[in-house]
Amino acid sequence: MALDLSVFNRFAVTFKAGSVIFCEYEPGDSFYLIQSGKVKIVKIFGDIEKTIDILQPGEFFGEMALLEEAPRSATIIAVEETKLLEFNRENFEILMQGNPQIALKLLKLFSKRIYDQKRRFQILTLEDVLARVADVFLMLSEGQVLDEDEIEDGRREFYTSIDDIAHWAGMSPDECRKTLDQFVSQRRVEVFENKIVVKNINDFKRFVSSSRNKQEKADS
Amino acid sequence: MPPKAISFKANSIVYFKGDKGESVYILQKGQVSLNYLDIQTGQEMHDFVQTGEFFGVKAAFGKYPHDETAVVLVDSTVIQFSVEDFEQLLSSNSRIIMKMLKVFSNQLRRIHKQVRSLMSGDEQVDAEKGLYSVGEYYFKNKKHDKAADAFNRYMIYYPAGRYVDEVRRKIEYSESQRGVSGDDFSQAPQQPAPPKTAYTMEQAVSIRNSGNYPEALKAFVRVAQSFPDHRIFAEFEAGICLYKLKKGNETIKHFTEILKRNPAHDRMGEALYYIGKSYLMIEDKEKARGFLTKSSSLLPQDSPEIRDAALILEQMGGA
Repeated sequence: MALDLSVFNRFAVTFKAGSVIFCEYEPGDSFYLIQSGKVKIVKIFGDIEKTIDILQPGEFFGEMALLEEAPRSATIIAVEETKLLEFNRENFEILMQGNPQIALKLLKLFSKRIYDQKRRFQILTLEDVLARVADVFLMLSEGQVLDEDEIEDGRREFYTSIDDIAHWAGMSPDECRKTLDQFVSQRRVEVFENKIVVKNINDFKRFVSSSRNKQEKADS
Repeated sequence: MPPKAISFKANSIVYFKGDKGESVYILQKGQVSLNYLDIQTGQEMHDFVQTGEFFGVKAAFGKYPHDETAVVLVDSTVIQFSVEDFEQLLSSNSRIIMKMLKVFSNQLRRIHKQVRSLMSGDEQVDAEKGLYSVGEYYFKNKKHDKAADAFNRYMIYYPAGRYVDEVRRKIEYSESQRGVSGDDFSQAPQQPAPPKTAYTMEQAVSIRNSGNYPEALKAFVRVAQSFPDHRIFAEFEAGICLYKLKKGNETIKHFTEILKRNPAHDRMGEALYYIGKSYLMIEDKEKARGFLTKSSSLLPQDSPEIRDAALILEQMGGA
């Protein structure tokens, strides 16, 4: 990264390979910029540690803490010896003002987050549990990159766990499993060990939009 | 495509809701309204774009569909930018970026709140249990370095938490196994397991006095664990280290826990003072004022803390 950040050297912190930079659920209000090394973002789901992303020099993490006082939403671990710049709210603004490239990156990240959160909100406002789960699949399918044949064909495969789907749908895993069973018995969904298949995503689209319309009519 | 000025007649549309975002617009002259449905109430909303203001930015950045329809109210001129040109423009103008960052972060904060308000109760796992289970996962999988890291953090925030006995035992075991096995970074040069650093209270204090707060924090947490007699003092000093490290939220959490467990703590005034100062750090002026005011009534009359609190309250005005 061609940025001169030497003025920020007093904020530098170094972590050894394998050490935890911060833990999921920990309170925190620092924002980090990677100078050298690599970190991985992990979350623990029951007995599995899932790596969500690996970040490189020039990338940053911990930005949500600048916005709200929620606990950290993931654990960050140094993959190799890593040098970070650690900012709090006060010096964060100084960093951004002096480094438009970083600010621009953050701006883009925020745009994406706002979009994603609005999409999540739409799902959660659905009252019908079937529609809510169907809409989760729609959301996931919107992020899939498909070739033309696959787009034609309404069949979609999702390598997403039931726990994740339950999380997006704002319900317990048990409730989510029951809801999926209903779709299975209607032959609209197949659940496999490692994946879930929606047989016709267009059918889900119609189902969700009619459910949304019905709800709006009832509300007004 | 270089930026170009486009004239729009009254009642025409710059883009419709659902159109994929490809350009960013600036209103040069005229009047434009952004019409959308409020996601919470479903009400139709109209936001007026000021001249000189950008619109369509979020959708253009991510090439997402627009959330709103941009309606031209009177004959207007709009400048259309490609995303690249817009970025070029921004990169030489950090004032605009800062302004947009603030707008976006406010929107993000609001939508986060809205999403959370709809999540079912069991979704909001309690943070204490969550932190414990992170340590537990690494402990079970024999990743002792990480288990020790996570459990040590648990001890900082929940010195009297539900799992404290177990956590203390497991820290001891993990520390003794540090760097021994099970870690997935075996390609890194193995550092010999450092001898378990036992700090005495005196050492912790002298580290603190030297100004090495990260190390002092560790030392006080360790002392609190190994010397029950020193626990109350060491825990308190650990909190001050957190504050010195400018970790506002952590400090608040730490002292709140201490006071919860010991409602008649003899350093209550000081604890409230640090909570107040931490709220100031995270820019929650109302809470800062509340805590500092309360601390002033409990702090000893001639302490530096009471003078500082008085000064801050005076600067805030209306205390």
